[in-house]
Amino acid sequence: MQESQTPNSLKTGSSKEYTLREATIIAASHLINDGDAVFIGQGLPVIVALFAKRRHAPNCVIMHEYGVVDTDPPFAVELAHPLFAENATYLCDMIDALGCLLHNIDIAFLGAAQIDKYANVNTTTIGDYFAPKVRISGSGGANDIGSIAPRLALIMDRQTSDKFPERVDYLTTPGNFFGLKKTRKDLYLPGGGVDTVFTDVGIYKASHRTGELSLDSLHHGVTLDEAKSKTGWKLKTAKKVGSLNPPSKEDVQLLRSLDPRMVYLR
Amino acid sequence: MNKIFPLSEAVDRYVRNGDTIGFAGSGGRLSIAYAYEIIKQKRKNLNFVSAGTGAPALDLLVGAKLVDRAEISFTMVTCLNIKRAVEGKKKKGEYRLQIEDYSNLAMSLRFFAGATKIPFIPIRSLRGSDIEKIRSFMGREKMTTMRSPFKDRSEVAVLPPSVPDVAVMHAQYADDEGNVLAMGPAGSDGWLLRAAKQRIVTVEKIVSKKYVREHNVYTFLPGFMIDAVCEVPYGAHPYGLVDCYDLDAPFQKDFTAKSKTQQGFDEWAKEWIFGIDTRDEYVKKIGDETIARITNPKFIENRLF
Repeated sequence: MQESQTPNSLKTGSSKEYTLREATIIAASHLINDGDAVFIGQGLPVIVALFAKRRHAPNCVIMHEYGVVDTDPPFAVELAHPLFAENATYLCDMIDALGCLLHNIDIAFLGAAQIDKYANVNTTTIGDYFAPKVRISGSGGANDIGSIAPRLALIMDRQTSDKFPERVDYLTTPGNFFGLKKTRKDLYLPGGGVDTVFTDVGIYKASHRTGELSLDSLHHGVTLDEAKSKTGWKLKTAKKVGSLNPPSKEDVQLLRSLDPRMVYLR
Repeated sequence: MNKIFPLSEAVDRYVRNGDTIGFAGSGGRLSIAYAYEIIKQKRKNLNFVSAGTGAPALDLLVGAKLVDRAEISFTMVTCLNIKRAVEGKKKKGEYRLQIEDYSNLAMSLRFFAGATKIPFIPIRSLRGSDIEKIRSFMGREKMTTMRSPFKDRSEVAVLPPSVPDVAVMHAQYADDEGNVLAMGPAGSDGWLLRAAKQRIVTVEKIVSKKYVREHNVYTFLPGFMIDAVCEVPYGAHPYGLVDCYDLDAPFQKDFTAKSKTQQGFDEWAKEWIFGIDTRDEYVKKIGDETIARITNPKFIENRLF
């Protein structure tokens, strides 16, 4: 398999320096509109939502399953950090957050260790479940979010063909199952499934008909060949694959100012 | 009735080998101090239950090889002791942690069912995933599906209740009767405690019953539901506690680094668990500088508002 031509370290784009991780976070933030109720999982979704709130969606309502709703931390912290909860407008329990509020949101964001062709997510184990090569973290609320959220987006930091396989090693969280759009309905799962996936390669959109991911646009400077080599199945692409503009200097500055402890940008 | 116990007695009296133990811990309400004490008293062959947030306590207990089975929904990638106990093929007799994977809502609802004595409970998630398909030690008792007996006839996953022998939570305040004041997000803490046969709460500070009455909007559980209260300052350290103190990131980082090997964990435990006799000693060992860095000024002033 061909190695990446684009190192995930500092890239230079028309005199603006940024990392592909930063470009991914900034691109993902545009899915959040002002006023949206946004349910976030562990990892990058925290900074995606906070960046959107500070940049273009000041009235978005950020919530997490521990029972933290409409929070506005001074900067990006771990979800377990007291600062994440301390100025929320509503605190509740998991049954309320995942069992009730989740049905009423606009969009949910989840991070993923593995994402497959139909946007199913693995965050449990790599390899044999009973003697795993790697134990990751398990579902947390991810399965509930994938099953219930009306709309779901995924974000992955570093796409490789192993992390973007034809089929996940363990299906922790349903995206769009296996190409039969009616599967979700058959299983009486209320959620809408995954519609967008953000990685350091670009943006993928799920087919409304089959749920299969196809490449929609590439980050500035990333090639179609790279996208294909970092995908574990025969990748479909949009009729015209777009090219994302490099993030603006202001956006990169704002993003970095939101993570002074380098919890998410390290 | 006075429910105040020293921490050592609250473990000695309430935890037996082979017990099912649940750890609360949302927004930091994690009684790390209680986990240390279980390790000190070597209660073993435990079955651990938690809806996500108890993962760091599980990591400690697994480091000490005290937990055989866990019905959980979440571990963190920094839980290296759990990783070591789960990953790869294990030789016969080698310590291994068996995990039954659920989701956060699933474990929360199992506690809800346990607390309200409902024999099973439906859930709108899990179906079609490997959480449904792959079973570890619970086998067919893990979950099943069922059609609604009412007219919509939809088929949903159903779960068994979870009734831990003992559940423990760390909170901000309690009075000597066990009326607990807790601030911050609730996670599954309330239902976990309600579901358990015995309920232990460690707190930062014992307050008067008058104080509880004046702040009853924060009362988390009534005292008659609680079996034991222990006053344990910084009892969630190195995790944080809303309105009291932040998490101690350098301490956590050091713990994670030491947890890369069993020997590293054992040495860490020797220093921070077995080598310390009293809570005062522990807080002193954390050091004034760290205490000053993590402590919330609101807490120092000892005010709630």
